[in-house]
Amino acid sequence: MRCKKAERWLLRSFDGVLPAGRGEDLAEHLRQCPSCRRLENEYRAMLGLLKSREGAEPLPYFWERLSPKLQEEKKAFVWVLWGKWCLRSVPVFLLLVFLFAAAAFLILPSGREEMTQSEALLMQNGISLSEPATAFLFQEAKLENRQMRLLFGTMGENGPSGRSIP
Amino acid sequence: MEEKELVRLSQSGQAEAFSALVRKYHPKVFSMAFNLTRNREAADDLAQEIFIKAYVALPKFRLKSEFGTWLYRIAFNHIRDHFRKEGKYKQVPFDQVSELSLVRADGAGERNAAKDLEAKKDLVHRVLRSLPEKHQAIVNLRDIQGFSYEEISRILKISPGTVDSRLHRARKMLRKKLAPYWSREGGLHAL
Repeated sequence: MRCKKAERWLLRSFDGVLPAGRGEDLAEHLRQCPSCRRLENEYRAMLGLLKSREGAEPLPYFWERLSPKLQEEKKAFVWVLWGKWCLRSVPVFLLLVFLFAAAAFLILPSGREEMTQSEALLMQNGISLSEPATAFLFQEAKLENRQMRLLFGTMGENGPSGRSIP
Repeated sequence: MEEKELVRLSQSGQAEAFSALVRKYHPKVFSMAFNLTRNREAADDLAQEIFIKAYVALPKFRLKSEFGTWLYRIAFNHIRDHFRKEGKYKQVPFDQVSELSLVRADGAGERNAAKDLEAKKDLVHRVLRSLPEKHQAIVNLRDIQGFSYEEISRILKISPGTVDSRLHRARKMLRKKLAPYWSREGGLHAL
C-alpha cells in the first residue's frame, strides 16, 4: 500500500467510515511505515485538540427571552407580508390599466371627431347640399377633406362656377 | 409527541409546539454559535436570531428532510453570513497566526499544564481559521460539532463523496500548517 492511500484510509478510520477489511491492511502498513505512524500520531493529536475544546452552558431562560421576540416578529411579519403583497400588486395594477386601455383602444369603435361648425350647419339644413354630395361628405374620414368637399360642394350648388361635386 | 407532529403544530401557530422544538435543538445551535464566537452572550444572540429565522421560514418547510437538518442548515448559513458581515470569517493570514502562537508558546513554560493545553487548543483553532472558508466549515462541522458525513452533506448541500474529499484535504492542510509548531516545541508530543 502506498503512503498516500494509507493517509486517506487513516482519516476515514477516524470517522469510522473505512470499509471492512481495509482496517487490517492499514494496520499492517502502519506497522511497517514509521512516517505513516508519525502521521497517525499527528492527526490524533490534532483532532483531539479540536474536539476537546470545552463548550459553554447556554444562558438560562432561553425560551422565555425568545418568546416575546417571536411574537414581535410574527406581528412584523404580517406587515412585511402585507407590504410585499402591496408592492407586488403595483405592477399587476399597472398591467391591468394598460390592458384595459389597449382593449378600449382596439375593441371600442373609434368615434368620429366632433363636427365642425359648417357640418353642424349642414346637419341643421343651414347649408343646402344635394343628397349625394352630403353622402360623399360623410364618407370622408379626414377633417380637411370634409371641409374641402363642403366648400366645393356649396360652390357647386350655389356658386357661379357651377362645378358639380365629384 | 413525534417531531413531525410538533413541526406541523408549530406551522399552524402553536407556540408550545415550537417551544418544544427550541428546547430540543437549542444546545446544539448554541454550541455551533459558541464555537465560533467563544462568547456566551454573542452565541446566545446568534441562537435567538437563528430560531427567529426558522420560525419565520417554518411555513415554507415541507417536511421533506428532518427538521434538525433543516434547522442546522439555517444555523450554519446564519453564522457564516454573520461572520462574513463582521469580516471575521475571512482567512487569517498565516504569518499573523504564527506571531500569535509564538507569543503563546514562549509563555507556555511558565503556566501550568491545564493552561498549556488550553494554549495548544487555541493554537489549533487559530490555525484552523487560516484555512479557506469551505475547509474551515467542514472541519467545524465534522471534527468539532461531530456531524456525520450524511448530515454534513445535507447541511452544505454537497454529496457525501465531496464531504469525504473536502474533509480529507482540510485535515491535511491543517496538519501541514501545524507541523512547524510541533517540531519547534520538540516534536509531536510537545503539541
